[in-house]
Amino acid sequence: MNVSGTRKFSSDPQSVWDVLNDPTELATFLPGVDTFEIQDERNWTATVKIPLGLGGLKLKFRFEKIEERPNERAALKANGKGVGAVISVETSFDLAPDGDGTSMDWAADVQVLGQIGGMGQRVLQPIVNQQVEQVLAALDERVQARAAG
Amino acid sequence: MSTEPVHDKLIAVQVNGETYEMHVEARRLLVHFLRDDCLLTGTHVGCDTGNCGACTVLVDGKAVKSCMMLAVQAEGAAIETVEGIASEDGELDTLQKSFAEKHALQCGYCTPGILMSAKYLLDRNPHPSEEDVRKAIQGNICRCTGYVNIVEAILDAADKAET
Amino acid sequence: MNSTATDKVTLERGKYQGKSIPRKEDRRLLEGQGSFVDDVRRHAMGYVHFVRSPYAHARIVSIDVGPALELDDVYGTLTGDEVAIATDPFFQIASPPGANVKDYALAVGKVRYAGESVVAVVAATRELARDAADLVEVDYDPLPVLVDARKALDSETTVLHDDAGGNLSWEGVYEWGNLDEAFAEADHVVKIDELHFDRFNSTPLECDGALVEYHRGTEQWTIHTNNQFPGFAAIMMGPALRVGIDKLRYVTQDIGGGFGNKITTHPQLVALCLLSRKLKRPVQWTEWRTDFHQSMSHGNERWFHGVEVAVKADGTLLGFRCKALDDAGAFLRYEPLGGVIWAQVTPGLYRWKHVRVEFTQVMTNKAPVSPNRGYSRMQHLWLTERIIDIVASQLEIDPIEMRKLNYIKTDEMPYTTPNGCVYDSGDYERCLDIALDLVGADTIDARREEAAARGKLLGLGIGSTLDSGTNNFAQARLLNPELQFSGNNEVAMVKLDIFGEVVVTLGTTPQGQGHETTASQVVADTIGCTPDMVTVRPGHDSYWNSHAGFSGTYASQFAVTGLSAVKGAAEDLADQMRRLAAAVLGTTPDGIVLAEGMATRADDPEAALPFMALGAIINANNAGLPPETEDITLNARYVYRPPFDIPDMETKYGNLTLTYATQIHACVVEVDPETGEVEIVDYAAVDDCGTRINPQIVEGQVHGATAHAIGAALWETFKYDEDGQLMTANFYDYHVPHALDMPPIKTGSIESPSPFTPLGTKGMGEGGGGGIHCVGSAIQSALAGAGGALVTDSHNPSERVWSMLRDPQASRSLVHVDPAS
Repeated sequence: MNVSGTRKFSSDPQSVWDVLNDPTELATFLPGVDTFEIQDERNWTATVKIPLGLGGLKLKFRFEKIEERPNERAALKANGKGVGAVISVETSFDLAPDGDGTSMDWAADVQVLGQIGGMGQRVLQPIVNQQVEQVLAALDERVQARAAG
Repeated sequence: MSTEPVHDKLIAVQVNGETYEMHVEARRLLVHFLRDDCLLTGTHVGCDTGNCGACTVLVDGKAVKSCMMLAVQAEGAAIETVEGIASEDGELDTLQKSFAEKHALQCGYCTPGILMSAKYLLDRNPHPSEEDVRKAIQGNICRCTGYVNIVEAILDAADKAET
Repeated sequence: MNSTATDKVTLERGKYQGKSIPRKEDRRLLEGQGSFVDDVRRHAMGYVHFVRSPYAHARIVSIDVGPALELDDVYGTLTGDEVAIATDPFFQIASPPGANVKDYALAVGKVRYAGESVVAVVAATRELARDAADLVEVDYDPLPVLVDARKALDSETTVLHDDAGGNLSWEGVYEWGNLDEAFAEADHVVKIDELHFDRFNSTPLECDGALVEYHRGTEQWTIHTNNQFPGFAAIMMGPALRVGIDKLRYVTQDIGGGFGNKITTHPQLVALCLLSRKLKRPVQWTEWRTDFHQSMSHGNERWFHGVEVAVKADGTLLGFRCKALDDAGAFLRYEPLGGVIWAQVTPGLYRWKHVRVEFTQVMTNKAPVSPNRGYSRMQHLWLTERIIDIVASQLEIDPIEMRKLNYIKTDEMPYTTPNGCVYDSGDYERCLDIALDLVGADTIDARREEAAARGKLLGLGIGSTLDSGTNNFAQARLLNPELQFSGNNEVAMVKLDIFGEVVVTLGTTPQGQGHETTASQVVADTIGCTPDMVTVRPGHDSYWNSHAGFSGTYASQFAVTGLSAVKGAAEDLADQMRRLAAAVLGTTPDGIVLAEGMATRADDPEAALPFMALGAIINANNAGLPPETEDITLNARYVYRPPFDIPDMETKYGNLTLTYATQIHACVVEVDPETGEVEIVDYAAVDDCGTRINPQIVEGQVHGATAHAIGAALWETFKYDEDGQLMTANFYDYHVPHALDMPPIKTGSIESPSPFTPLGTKGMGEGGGGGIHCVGSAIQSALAGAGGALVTDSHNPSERVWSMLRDPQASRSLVHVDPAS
């Protein structure tokens, strides 16, 4: 399923980029991250717990940064595997100055396979929306905190 | 008060009048307890989402899908399964006789569940209408009979039962 | 609720045949004492759970079973690599390219549908097997996914089997008569661009399963299972396991429904055979409902493109041509037999002589198909019924009159079809009249008005269908001339034992059809006793040696193959009993009467022997018997072989099936124009299966087939998303009709005995999808006055009907009449 939107930040593109581009920062606001390990500049892994089913769905994610234009665009691929589920996400962020702040166009293509995928859009869509909202809110907070020093 | 998760438990359950006391894993489903531990294989499993009703038993007089209940939840309960319907000397119950007469079973896989749902209905409503009967077995899937003869058999049993 | 109009019985049947006697099977099933495969236990057995692919198409990069094996009481695992070493790929029925598909018991190198088994894990309990399976790590490299059969042969489309070079399974052209002549003679040519027969199956309530033991001393496997065609399983499994079929013993007892869906479990059975040998313990597998939906036995999904019908102005049908595109899913297990089996009913119930079908079967990233109640004939009969209704609507001819005009007439029977099949007997027009009468068709106009006043659209529909039964397996050669298959067979044994026990063993694997009961009726009448005195051993066991190459229960044939074998064996036994009694009582065999469990001298009723005496003499007291009794064993084995020839390969002409039962269904529906909800308010099914040994059992089959068809017409579908994920993988999403969903069903019957079978019986039970045809027909009728949308899909849930009401042009634009009438 595809989700996309635009989010405005009060900070400038550089500040937003600093957070987006830093894996350790990402770890703090990606939803349900249990552990986090950086392989190199472009590759890292994480174990994640998504609120689905009793006790949550535990997944092992591999992240790869596939595109990078400083202060302008970042694109990521993520592949997560767990019991009865495989989740692939391709996501991109485009930044542009918006007055003193930043306007960010974001998009994510989420593919869910396995028994969970069989449940279809009606169950997954609200969960995806919720997760996205959490990420953006946390990103916003992080950007502001970092800009404040 | 801190609680350690319990992985297995000693339970005592009455099934068709007999007491079964044994250790079960906390996650064991009641239907598997009946089939694998009590060796009462009349109750069947037909799905994994609680839709088909093949596992229907009576727990303390209420019709329950035994795949949707843990064995540990049945601790202390009185359970009736299909094996308990016929009398001690092996004579078939009126309901069972009607099923045979009306050809209300073909492969027989849904039959135990349907008998328990029918029993639950007739125990509470001895003079059901056809609509009552269809509603009572709505949670039991049958793929062989189209329910036609099943409904007739239950109505026939209601007719024949001594009130 | 039920009414029966039965034709005069023309065959002398005896005391029990023709009666609805109670079933022998019922006692144990009602008491919960049946023996279904999950009821069978062996000490120290391991429970199997399969790790399945979440991807519809992917390369397997690596498999790590280590974490699973670390758990206590996990007995072992099996992966595709091991399977590829220990077994050969399954024999393929197809000629190239389908022949080059490599199919193994587990995925090897690649996964090709979501739900395909990749690893088998065995543990001490069911729960532990699942725990262990969750720990297995499989790494996949996803590939593009193909779910639309119409794209399967495009050059850019992903290919499932590189060995086959493409997604084509099989293609061929069938043509009989003279199409050019037919189209030249036609007053109109009606063209239908596209019709679609949807994917579903019969979801038997019991899933597949097996308990397999390996006997090290004899290198033999005992396979307790619910596979319904052990003959087929054996010829698939033997070569794969590199053993003779004598090393495979199949044992079945009670089976919780089959409907054709339990024919292709040989891959799982091979996995279990390998595991039981590797782990040195019995292994048990019971399939989960979700696994069944995702991986087993979907029915053939078929598209019909470019349908062109040559018709006269008065509605006389001359011929048709079309392209059929069949979606076989990811592997060919019983396929491509679906590519020829439809030809058993080439003209449907109609008299047209000129037919051309270009048949193409392709593979897609979906569950492999297998026979499903009505297998392949149902799809073709739906086509012919759609043609009738659509042509009738375009030419403004009453669909009832059009059918009667074109039906093959009863006095034309036996009728040879354009491709050489012989319809043995039947009276279609009479069955149609009975069906129409049962649903009150004569008052349909008034009912339509009354419904309209309540805001509902009312329609009347007809579905005429044939249940062809008893295959001539030579039809497989029309697909692949190299195949050495032809004919058919079934076996029965009847013996009279030492205390007078009459014991019957069959080669069949009944799943509710009452074989024990009907067999006992035939035996009782033939040897002169009551059905209660006859014991029929339940199920199938290779050790009884009571089976032959094609043994099993499938394709609507028991009443012919099974019961004819029983009749043959019983007659042989009766003959031996008379001869033995004659020798003992001092008379000739014609002078002996067998009745009521006694062998009596016709001329001296005091001179009688109970059956027990005969059994005792032969078994335990046989010294001094006269020489003419030397060959008497009172243990008769009979192999029934239907009379078949090999069809002509060039012209694809010949008899493919022995019998043709008729089912004509009619129904009245009310459609809610706001929601598209369809309610069936009246339903009738009329059956003609020749001589009925047990009418109540026959009627039960008609009920069941009707429920399956109504389910498929309105609610049941195996729907895939574009990633090849099955959206209806369990009963939560795949709606099966329950007791409140079913409309009241009226039944009627006539008996047109088959001239070709020993008992005049015809196989029945599949029902040919009659309900699918007539519900669609009724929906089209209901919508006639509200936009006139045409039914072009076999599956019409409320969403589709709603769309048809909102945009009738979408379907109408698929049909063109040339010249316009």
